[in-house]
Amino acid sequence: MKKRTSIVDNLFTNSVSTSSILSIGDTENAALKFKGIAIQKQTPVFSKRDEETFNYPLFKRDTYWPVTKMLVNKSTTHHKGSIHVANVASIGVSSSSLLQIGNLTRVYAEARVKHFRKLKDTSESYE
Amino acid sequence: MNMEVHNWGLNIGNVQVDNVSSSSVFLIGDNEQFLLSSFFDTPPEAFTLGNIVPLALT
Repeated sequence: MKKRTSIVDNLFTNSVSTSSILSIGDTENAALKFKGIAIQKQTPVFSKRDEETFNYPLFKRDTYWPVTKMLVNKSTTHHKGSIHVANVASIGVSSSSLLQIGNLTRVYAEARVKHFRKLKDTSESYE
Repeated sequence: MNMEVHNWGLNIGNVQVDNVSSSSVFLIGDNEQFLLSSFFDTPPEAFTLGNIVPLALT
């Protein structure tokens, strides 16, 4: 399938962090994987007791990829050979994400997040 | 299923994205296949204790 050229005049990204990619050019395959634990505490004081490990069943489960039920044969014709974007501004590309200027044929992206909310048990709140 | 796509012109002015995060993709270009999978687990005590303040009744 013929590919178009992407033209971006201005690109501003403040930060590309925690195993993220800013890729300019064509990419054939991309595989992204993110495992995160989010802890929110009522009093934001974190100690050694709040240390977490990734051995939770959520992270051990094998990935469920969506199954393509119906085969689609698609024929695409590009009457204009380029995609034009004037300005792109983004504050952050983080936690194993991808900002791609150019073609990207196949992407496998997986994200797993476990949330903890540690609240103080104020006894008077039960009355 | 047969599908025929005709792309004429694609011109975008400004794009402002706050954050691209947790295995997401911001793509300017062509693509053939995206396979996305996400798990998240919010434990039962993830709601606030104490009484819920009612919204304005009027």
